[in-house]
Amino acid sequence: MKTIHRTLQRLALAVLAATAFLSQAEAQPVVSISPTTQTIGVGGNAAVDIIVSGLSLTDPTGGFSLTLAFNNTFVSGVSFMNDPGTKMGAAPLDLSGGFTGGSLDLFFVADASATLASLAASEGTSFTLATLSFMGVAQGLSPLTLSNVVLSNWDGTQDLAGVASLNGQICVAEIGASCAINAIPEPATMLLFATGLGALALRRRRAA
Amino acid sequence: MSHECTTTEGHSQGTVLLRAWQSLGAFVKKAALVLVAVAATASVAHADTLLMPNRDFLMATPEVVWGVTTQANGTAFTLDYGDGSAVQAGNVTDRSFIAFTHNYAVSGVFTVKLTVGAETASATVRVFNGALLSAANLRGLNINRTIQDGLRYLWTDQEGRAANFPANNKTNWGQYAGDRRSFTALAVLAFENQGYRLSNDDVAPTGIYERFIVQRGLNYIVDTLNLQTLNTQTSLGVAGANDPCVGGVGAAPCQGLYNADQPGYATAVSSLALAGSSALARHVPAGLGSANTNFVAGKTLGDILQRLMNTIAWGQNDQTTASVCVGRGGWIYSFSNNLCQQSDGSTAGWDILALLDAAANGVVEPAFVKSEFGFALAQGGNNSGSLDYRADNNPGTDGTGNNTARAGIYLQGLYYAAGGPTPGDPKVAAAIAYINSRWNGAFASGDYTGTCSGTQNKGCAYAMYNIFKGLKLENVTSLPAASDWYAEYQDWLVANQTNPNSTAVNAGSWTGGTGKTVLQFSCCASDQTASAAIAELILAPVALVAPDPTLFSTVGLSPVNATNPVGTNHTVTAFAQSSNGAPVPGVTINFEVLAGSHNAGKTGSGQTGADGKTTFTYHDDNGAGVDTIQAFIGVLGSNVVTKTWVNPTIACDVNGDNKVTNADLVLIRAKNGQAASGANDPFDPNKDGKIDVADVRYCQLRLTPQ
Repeated sequence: MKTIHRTLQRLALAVLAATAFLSQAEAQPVVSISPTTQTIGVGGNAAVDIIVSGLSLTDPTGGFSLTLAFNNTFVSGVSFMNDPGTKMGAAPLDLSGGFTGGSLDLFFVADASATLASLAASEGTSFTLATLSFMGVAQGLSPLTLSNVVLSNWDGTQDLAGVASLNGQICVAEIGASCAINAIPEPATMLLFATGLGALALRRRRAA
Repeated sequence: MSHECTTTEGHSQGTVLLRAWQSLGAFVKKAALVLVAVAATASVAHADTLLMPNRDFLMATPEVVWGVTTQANGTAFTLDYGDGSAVQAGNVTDRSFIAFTHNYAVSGVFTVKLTVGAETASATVRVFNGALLSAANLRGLNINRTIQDGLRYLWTDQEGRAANFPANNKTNWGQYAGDRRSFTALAVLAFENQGYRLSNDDVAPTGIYERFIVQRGLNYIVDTLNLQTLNTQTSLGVAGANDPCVGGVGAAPCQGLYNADQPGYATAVSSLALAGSSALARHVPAGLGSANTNFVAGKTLGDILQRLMNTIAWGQNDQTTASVCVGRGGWIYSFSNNLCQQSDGSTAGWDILALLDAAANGVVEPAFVKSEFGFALAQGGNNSGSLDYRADNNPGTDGTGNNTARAGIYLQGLYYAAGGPTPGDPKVAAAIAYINSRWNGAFASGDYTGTCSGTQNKGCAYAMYNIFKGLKLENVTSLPAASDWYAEYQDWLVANQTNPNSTAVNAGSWTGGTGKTVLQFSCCASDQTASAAIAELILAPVALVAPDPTLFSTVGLSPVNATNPVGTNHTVTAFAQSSNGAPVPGVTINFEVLAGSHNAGKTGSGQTGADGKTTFTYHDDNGAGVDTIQAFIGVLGSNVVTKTWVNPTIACDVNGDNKVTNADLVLIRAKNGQAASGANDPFDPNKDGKIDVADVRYCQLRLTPQ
């Protein structure tokens, strides 16, 4: 049994090490909904940010496009603002389609004069791609599901590779009540990290 | 003549038709549409040789071309159809109807010339190719042809036409002597309704119909009127106020005039022809007035019309006692002479229309006429929606003689009494429902079947006309049984005209024939003059605009040349325009990328809109190459245009305008998410095999400096 425990311990350490390596040395972009979950009442407003993280300072993004699906039975799209922090330059090109039914189409390209250096400096490794506003129209749980997420590299010669997405949801409920919350899908690196933590916990319990 | 067999049964009133269209909001648009194309009078180089009015013909169909001359029979003539075909030549055998059929092999606008001796007359004919017309325009063309062929029938049907032409200053119609004055008025009204009217002065008319039909017909009408000394209207009860000589309108107001056929309605029919002349200031020529000791000679048509209407006004049925006099305020075959008579529903119909039309032409009507008529309407109207033939003062029973014709008259009466349409009136609704339930000719229990030998609606001129008038006055355009009842009437009359493309006797009438149904006039006096006149009072010409074949075949398709990057869309526009450049809507146009082209076989079709245009868009699926494209209206082809598909020479210039602008970015964005069509897809400039935001960014950094 000790051999097994030792093996698990080594595996867990190896996974954690690998995770740490991936997140630091080879970070990949993640586009996520923030906050992941929030509850509002009917007629109430929910502010949602779409955030990109994991950007490389050597390869910032020059544009993004994505689709956000939501359940318009429960929430309605009120407004959206791309690049609220003006990280992608003062005169970007916004070709977004906007809200249609239960869908939001965003398509945004940086300022034509923005350079690799200027984008890297302003974007950093994480910035807000867009800020959205929804209003609760009926009680229920609306997922906020990202799809077709594409980040252009700074000069459009290629897409940024390995972009992951992290969804969210809005609960429309009476004050003090809550929705049956669905599990939020996680990116692969987070799962890997959780696996490592789990293995460590198991080892410690067995050791005790 | 039986009570149902009167000339009254079939009257019409085209002037009221025109007035009604002008005054009733629902028909303003239609009036504007249909009255545009009223044919103008043919131009004449010399006054005494005349051609038919300008008109429309159908290509590749025998059409009747005709004219007249005042020169003697035997004089040499030529008839040039204007289309380059052989000129018809010969000697005149019937100077009142020099007629031939001709088949125009091509479409276009042609000048017909009739030369008799040294005189030449000309007329313009528009020949349409039916294959180029929209269904609506082809239908309109056939309506126009039917109208002109029907008027030609009435020309040929003049009593003693050849013998009386041109010397007699009067003309008349009517195989039935007892109705001759009324039917003549009806025929004159038909020509007036189609736009052939006199000027409102004493200038001699020159057009063939104005000169030889309307003027001479009106001469006959006024010549045969009788004098009528008007009597007191005892129903009014007040001495003085009930006396036409005291309270009447105009000079010598108690001297009225009437039409002696059946005065109660025939006077109204004559009134309609005068009111429809639009020439109430015109003076009656000297010497006329054989039936009235030349009373009418020198008087204006307006004066005569006023006296006719005075006779109608003071001839309303009286209430002579305190007991019920069923029919007070109505009319019957003879004018009331202080008698209590039943009101006659069919007679009253003509009088109502005359009152409406005369008032529209400025004739003053004593105020009591309408209020007195209210008694007759109440006593004759039935809950079923019908009007009694003889008023019985019982709305719960239909009495005798009720049918759709009198339901139409009931609508006219309700309109007159109310001074306009009353769509919310349950009586109006009942009358409309009565007509609707019998629209397809079925009889209900108790309906009178004697009118038109058991024909309840289509095929019975008297019924059709009164329904037509009643529904039009009340602004009814659709019935549950007929979504467009007026179109059904038009189509029925077009379909059942007898042998319209012939010079034979009865050609252009409604007297039946193979596959045709006779248009009967009324119950027993089935005079085809009256039926044809009724048809002409119902039909209205349609403005036609047809594509010009030459314009379409030379410049109908654009752009002539265009170059686009491969893999994009191309749009061509077809334009159907008439010979004067006006757009032609409603034309179906087919498009084809011609054989031998890079994208051969791609097709499409569209219908031209109000601007006469329709477009065809297709996508290049085959890379660089050349297409030739053509549009077609039927078999008529447009000019051929060329499209060249090229690989862009400038990266990101997807619209091929030799520069990179935001327009290119927008086009690329429109393909977001698609896979590239190949290694050279211009929409995938970064060549990563997919079209997305990176391509837009890529091109944004390559915008052509402004």
